[in-house]
Amino acid sequence: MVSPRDREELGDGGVRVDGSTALIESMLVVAAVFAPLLGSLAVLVWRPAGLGAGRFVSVACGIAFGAAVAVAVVSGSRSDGLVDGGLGLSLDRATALLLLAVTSMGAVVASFARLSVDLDGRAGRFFVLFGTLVTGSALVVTPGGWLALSAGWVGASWALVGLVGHRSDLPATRRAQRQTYRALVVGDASLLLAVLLMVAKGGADPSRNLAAVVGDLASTTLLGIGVDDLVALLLVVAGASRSALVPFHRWLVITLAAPTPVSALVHAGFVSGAGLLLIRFGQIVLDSFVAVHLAFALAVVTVVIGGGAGSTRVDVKGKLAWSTVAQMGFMVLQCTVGAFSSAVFHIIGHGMYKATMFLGAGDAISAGLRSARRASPLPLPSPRVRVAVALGVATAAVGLGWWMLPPDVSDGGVALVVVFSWVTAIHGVWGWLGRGAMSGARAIVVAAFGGFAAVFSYLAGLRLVEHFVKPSFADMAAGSGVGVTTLLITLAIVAAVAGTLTLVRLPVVDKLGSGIAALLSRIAHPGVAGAGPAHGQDLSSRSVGVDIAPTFEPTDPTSREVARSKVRADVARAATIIAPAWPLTSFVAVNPLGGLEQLGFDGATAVARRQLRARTHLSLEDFRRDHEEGLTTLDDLHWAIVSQFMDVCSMPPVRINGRDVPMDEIIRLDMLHSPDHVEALEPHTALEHVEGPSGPLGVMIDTTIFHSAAQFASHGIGSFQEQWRNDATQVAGIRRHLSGDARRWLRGLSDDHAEVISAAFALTRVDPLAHLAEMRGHLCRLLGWAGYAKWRTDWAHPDEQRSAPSLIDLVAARSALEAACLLGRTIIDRSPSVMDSADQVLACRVDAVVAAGFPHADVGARNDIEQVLSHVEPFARNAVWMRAQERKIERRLLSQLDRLDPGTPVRIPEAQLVFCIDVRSEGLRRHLEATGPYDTIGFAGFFGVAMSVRRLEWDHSEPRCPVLVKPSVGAFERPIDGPGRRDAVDAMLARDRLRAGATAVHASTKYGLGAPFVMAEAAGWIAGPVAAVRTLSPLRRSATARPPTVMELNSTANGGLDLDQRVFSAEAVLKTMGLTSCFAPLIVLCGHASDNVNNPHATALDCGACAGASGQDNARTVARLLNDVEVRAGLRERAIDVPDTTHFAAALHDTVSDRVHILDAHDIPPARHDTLSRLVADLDVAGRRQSAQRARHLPGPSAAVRSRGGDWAQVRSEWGLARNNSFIIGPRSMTVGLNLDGRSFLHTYDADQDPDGKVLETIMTAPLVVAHWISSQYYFSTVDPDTFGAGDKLIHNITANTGVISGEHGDLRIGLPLQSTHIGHRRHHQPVRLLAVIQAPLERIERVIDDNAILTTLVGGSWIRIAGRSHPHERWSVRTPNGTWSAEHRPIEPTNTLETP
Amino acid sequence: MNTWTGFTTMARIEVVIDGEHVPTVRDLLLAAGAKGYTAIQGVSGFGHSGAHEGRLLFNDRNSLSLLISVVPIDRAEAIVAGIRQLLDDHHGVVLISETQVSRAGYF
Repeated sequence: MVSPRDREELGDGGVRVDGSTALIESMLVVAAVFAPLLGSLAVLVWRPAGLGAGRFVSVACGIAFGAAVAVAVVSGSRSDGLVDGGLGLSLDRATALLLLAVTSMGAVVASFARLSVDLDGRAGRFFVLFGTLVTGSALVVTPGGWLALSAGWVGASWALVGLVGHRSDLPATRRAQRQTYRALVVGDASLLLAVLLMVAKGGADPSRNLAAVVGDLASTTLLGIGVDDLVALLLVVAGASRSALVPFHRWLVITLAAPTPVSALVHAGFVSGAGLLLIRFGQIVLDSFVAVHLAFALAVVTVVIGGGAGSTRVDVKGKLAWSTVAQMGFMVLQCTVGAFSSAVFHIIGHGMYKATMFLGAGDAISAGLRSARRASPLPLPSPRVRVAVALGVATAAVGLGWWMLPPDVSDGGVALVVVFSWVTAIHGVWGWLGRGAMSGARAIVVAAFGGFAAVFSYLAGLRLVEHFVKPSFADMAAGSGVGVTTLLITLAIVAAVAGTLTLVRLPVVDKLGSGIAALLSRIAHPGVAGAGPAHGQDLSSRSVGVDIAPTFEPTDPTSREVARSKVRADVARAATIIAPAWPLTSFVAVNPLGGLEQLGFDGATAVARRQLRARTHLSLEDFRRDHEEGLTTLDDLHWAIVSQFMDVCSMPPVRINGRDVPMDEIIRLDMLHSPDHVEALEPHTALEHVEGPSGPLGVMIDTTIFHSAAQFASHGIGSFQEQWRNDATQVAGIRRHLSGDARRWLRGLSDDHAEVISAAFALTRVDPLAHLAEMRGHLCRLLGWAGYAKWRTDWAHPDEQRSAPSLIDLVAARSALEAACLLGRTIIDRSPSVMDSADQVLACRVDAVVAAGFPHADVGARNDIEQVLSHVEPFARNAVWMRAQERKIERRLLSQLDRLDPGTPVRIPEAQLVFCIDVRSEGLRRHLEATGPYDTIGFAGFFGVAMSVRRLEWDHSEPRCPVLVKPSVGAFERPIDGPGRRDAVDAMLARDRLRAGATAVHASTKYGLGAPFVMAEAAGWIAGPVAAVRTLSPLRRSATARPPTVMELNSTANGGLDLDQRVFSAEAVLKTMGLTSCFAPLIVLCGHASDNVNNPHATALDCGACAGASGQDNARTVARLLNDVEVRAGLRERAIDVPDTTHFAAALHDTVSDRVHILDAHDIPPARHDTLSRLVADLDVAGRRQSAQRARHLPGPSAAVRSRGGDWAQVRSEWGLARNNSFIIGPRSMTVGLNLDGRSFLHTYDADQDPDGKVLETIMTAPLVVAHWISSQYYFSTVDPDTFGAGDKLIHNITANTGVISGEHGDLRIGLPLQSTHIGHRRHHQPVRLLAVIQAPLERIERVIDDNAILTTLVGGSWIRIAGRSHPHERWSVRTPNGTWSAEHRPIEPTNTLETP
Repeated sequence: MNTWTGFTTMARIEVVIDGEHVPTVRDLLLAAGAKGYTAIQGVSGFGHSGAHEGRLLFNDRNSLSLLISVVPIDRAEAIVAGIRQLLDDHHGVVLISETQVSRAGYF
C-alpha cells in the first residue's frame, strides 16, 4: 500500500491538489482520527457531571464519523483513491473504508454507552479511555509513520486494559485486567520491535509511511537474518496477539469482565489488529515464506479451535467471544492467501455484526421466550429431502453465482469465497427447512429463492467492495502468499477430521472425541481452567497431625438406606437458608431469607451475616448520611434508641465532667460517631478451616461447580455427578490440585449423592453433630445455583423441562471436591481461626463517643462509657437506625392518612378502573381520578382467577397467577366468529412461522460448522446500520397485528369450570375487590406489563401476581367471565346485581410508558363507546402527568421518559417497584387525592362488607405476603448488591438461558440488578421493612394473624409492621410484635399531601 | 391385625406438614423407594400447635397438607428416619401404621 507522499517520491505522478483542498483533506483526516481523543481530553479538562462525559465523547465520535465519511467520499472520487492527511497520516480507499467502519462503530457504541454506563464516579474515566481507544484504533487503521502506528497501537492497548478494569472493585475484574495486560504486552512489544527495525533500517522520519519503508528492508540483514523476514515475523506475532489467535486467545475471553460497550468496541475493530497490519504490510508478510506460513498455520488452528471451543460455551457473551476468535482466524486466512479485499469486507462486516450482537446481548432471555411462543411448526420434509434441497440449492446458487466472483482476487481468495459461501448456504437452507415455517413445496421453493438471493447478495457485496478498494492493492504481487493447493488440502483435512469425529461411531473415535471435547472445554473457559494456587501448595501448615484417608465403612442395606435418608433430610434442612431463584424467563421477587423467616428479622439477618457473610443492614456511615439528608430526625433516633435499649436507658445517668449524662445520650453519640462493626469471617466447611473462607482452593471448587451447573442446566445430558466429575478432573483448574489418590477416590465414589456426602464427611472427619452446619456451609458458597436448584425442586411445575442440579447434587459435589483436595494431606485444624476483635471494636467506640461528646473525660468516665456501650450490641445500632427510618416513614404516612376525611359520597362514576396493587399503579390512578369522574380500585393483578393461559399461536400453556397458588383453570384465546376471520388468523400464524424460520436460519448459520464466517461478514452490513438506527433513534417495535380474538376460560368439556364454579369465581373476585354495588356503566380491568428491550431482567418489571408476566390475559379472561349473562344471573342469586348496562372491559398498563391500551375493543358495546372515548383521552392525559412525575427521578432527558423501554441502551427503563415501603388495605376514599409518591401497594377493602374477615384473610395471606417478598427483595438487593443482588448490569452475561453471571464465569446472580436500586453508588431505594396499614376492626386483624401461621411468623418476627384503625374516624394504632396496639405517633409536617392536577 | 386373604401387609405413612415443605417430603419419599403418594392440600384441624385453618383462597403454600404413602415394610424405616429428621426443624406430624393392599406390585 502506497501513500500519496510516497507516490510522489516514486515519481509516478500522484494527483496534485491545491493548497486549500489539501488543508481541508488534512483537517478531515485529523478530525476522523483525533476527534474522539479530543473528546476524552475535554472530559479530563471540564469534568462534566452526570451524563456529560458520555455526551462529550459520543459527539466527538460522531464528528470523527462524519469526517471519515467525507474522507471516504474523497477517496472514492479519485481514481487512485489516495488522500493525504498530513501529520504522517494518509489513506487509500481500503483504509478509508476501514476508518469509516472504526469511527462509525465508535460513534454508535459511544452513544450506546452514554446511557448505559452508570452515573457513578467511574463514568468520566470510562469515557476518557473510550475516546482514547477509538483514536488508537483509528491510528492503527490509518497508514502513517512509525510514531502514529506505535502510539495508536500501544495507546489502544492501554486504554483497553483500563476499560477492562472499569469495575476494579471486583476481584475477578482485577484478575481479568492483569491477564489482559500480560497478553497484549506481547503484541505491543513485537510491534514496537518491528517498528524499531523498520526505523533503524528505513529512517526515523515520523511522517514517512512505514509501508514505504518496507521496500528498503529487502536487502538488509541482522545477525545474518533478513530484516524483512524478521519484521514480517514480528508483525505476525503482534497481529496474532492483538487478534487473539491461538495461542494468544485467552485475553479476548477474559475481557468479558469489561462492560458490554467495551466488548462491542473491542470486537468491532480493536481485535482486527492482525488483519489491519497484514493489509498495511501485506507484501512484506506475503514475501516471507516463514512469516506467511506461520500466520497461515495460526489462522487454521485458530479457526478450528475457535469454532470448537465456542460450541462448549453456554453463555451468550462467551459464545460471541469465541466466535470472534474463529473469525479472526478466518480473517488472517484471507490475508495469507492474498485476498485482501475479502479481508476488508470481512473486517467491516464482522465488526458491525459482532458489535450489534454484543450490544443486544441482553435480549437473549426475551428472544428465548419469543421463540418458545412462536406458532408450532408445520410438518417437515423428510431428512433426505432436506439434505438434497440444501445441497442442491447451495451448489446451484454458488455455481450460478460464479460469474459474480471478484475478478482480481487471488485463487486462494476465490476458493475461500466458494467453499464457505457454499457451506453457509447449506446450513441456511437446512435451518429453514427444519423449522416448519411453511409446508411442503412452498418451503422448498422459498428455500431455493432465499438461498439464491442470499448467495447473490453476498457475492455482489463482496464484488462491490473489491471494486472500491481495488486501487489499494494494485501493487500487490500476484501469486505470493499461501497457494490455493495448500489451502484446499488444509481445508479438506480439517473437514475430514471434523466429519470423522462427528459421524463415525467407533470406540476409539469416541474416546478421541471425548478427549478433544475436554481439551476444547478447557481452552474455552480460561477463567474456570485457570491454575489458581501453585500446584502442590502445602495446606497443612496450619494443621495438626493425622493423615486423611478414606474411612467410609459400608454397613448393612437397611442401615445404609436409613443413613441415606437422614442425609437427604439434613440437606433439606440445611437448605432453609437458600431462597428459591426463578429463571429470568419468569422472574419472581422473593425474600432472600425466606427460609429463615421463623427466626424473625433479627434472627434471620444474624444467621445471614454469619453464614452467608452478607451485609443485612446499611452501614452506620450510610445511615448517618441519610440522617443528614433528612431521612431521620433526632427525635426518631431517640425513640428508636429508647425502644430498643429500654433496659439500658432506664439505668441511672453517668456522671461525666460534673454532669449527669443519661444513657440514651451516650448511645446516641455512639450511633452518630462510632465506627461500624465488621463481622469476623468464620470457617464453615472442612477446607475453609484449613485455608480460610477466601482460600484459593475453595474458590476454585466453587468455580468448577458453577461451570458444571451451567453446563448441566444448558444441555441436561447425563447426570450432574458425571458432569462435575468430568469437569473437576479434565477441565477446571482444580484438576491440577487433585493427586492420583484423590482422582481414584473420586472415581470410586458411589452414584448415590447421600453416600457421596457421607464418604466426604467421613474423609474430612466432620463431626456428626456438625453435618448440618457443614452442608449449609457448602450451599452458602453456591448461593445462585443452590437457589435455582431450590426453585426446580420446590416451585417448578412438575412438567418443567429445564434441567438443574438438585440441592443434594450440589452438596455432594462440593463436599467431595473439598475432601479430594484434602486427601493425603493432614487433618484439618478446626480451632477458630479468627481472633475475636470485640474488645478492640468496643475501645474504638468509646474513643469515638469521648471525642464527640466528652473530650475531657477522665479514665473513670471512660470506664463508665465503656460499661454502657458494652450493653449495646455493635450490630444493634444498625437495626436501631433502620427502625428510626421506619418510624419517620410511619409517622409521615399515618399523618397523611389521618388528615383526610375518608367519607366519600356514594355516586356512580362514569367508569371504574381496577388496577393491580403494584406501587406503579398508584400515580396513574391518582392522576386519572383527578382528570375525570372515575373511581379506581386496587386488586391483585391476576384479578382473582388463578389460571394458565394459551394464546392463539402457542402450543403450550403458561401460568398467570401468583406463585403461591397453582393454576386451577385454563384459559385460551380464540378468534371471534365472522367472515374472513379464519383467513386473518391463518395470515397471523404464517407471519409468526416466517419469523421463526428466519430465526432458525440465523441460528443454523451462526452455529453451523464453517457457516458463521460468511454469515457474519454478510449480515454485518445490515446489522451495523440497524444498530446505528436503534441507538440514535430508539423507536418502539410496532405491535404485531392480530386478528380480533377473545380470551375465555376452558369449557367444562375441556376440564374447565362449570357454571356454579364460574359464578363462585366471579363472586370471589368482586367481593375481594370490594365491588358488589354501585357498578359503573364501564368497568375496566387493567393488567400491567413493562414493554422494554434488551433487558435480561425484563420479567422482573412485569406483573408479580401473574408469575412475572403480563397481566393482559387475566384481564381479558376475567372481563369476559364477568360479562357472561349466565354468570351474572348466578351472581344476582347471590345478591350481587350487576346491571345489564354495565360492561367489563380489559386494558393493559405499560408501566414503562404509562400508556394504557384498551384490549378487545371490538367486544365493547356501542352504547359505551362515548364513555370509552373520553376515558381513553383522560388516560392519555393521566399517563403523561404520571410520566412527567416519574421523569423527575430518572436520569436522562425527561422528554424521553416514555420511550426508554424501546431504547436498547437503557439499563434503567423504569424504576420498577423501587422505594416501595407500605401496603395500604382499605377503601380508596382513605387515600384518594393523596400523593403517595408511588411507594404504596394499594388494595381496596371495605371492612363493612366483610363481617367474617374472609376477604381480609385472603388479602393478608396472599397479596400482602407477595408484597412482603417484593419489599424484601428490594431491601436485601439494596443493602448487599453483591450477595443478594444481581450486581452491575453492564457486565451481565446470560448463561444457559436461565440467568446471568457477572463477566466470564461465576455463580448465577440472584436478586435485582444494581441499576434497579441504585444510581451509581447512590441508593435510590430506601431499604426498610414493609408497613401494612389496614382499616379494619383491630380484633379482626388480630384474629386473621392468629389464625394463619404465615402471618404469625411475618408479623411476630417483625418482617412486616402493622398499623390499623377500626373506624375511619379513629387515629391509627401501631401493632407491636407482641400483639399490643399503640396509638402513639406524632404528626409530621405535611408535604405533598394533596395532589393538584 | 387381621390379615385378609390375598392382601399384602404394608406400611402406611401419613405426614401432616406445611404446604411449603410438601416438595421436600415428596422427594424424601420417592428417593427412599416409595412408588407414589397422595397429597391433600388445605387440611384443617387442631393440635399441639393450635388451630389450623383449611384452604386459603390464593395461597396453597401456607396451609397444611396431608401426604399419604404406602410402602413395603422394609422401606418404611428409612423413609420415617428421614422425615423425622426433617421434623426436627419444622412443625408436622408423621404417623405410621400397617395396612393391607390388594395389589402389592403397585407399591
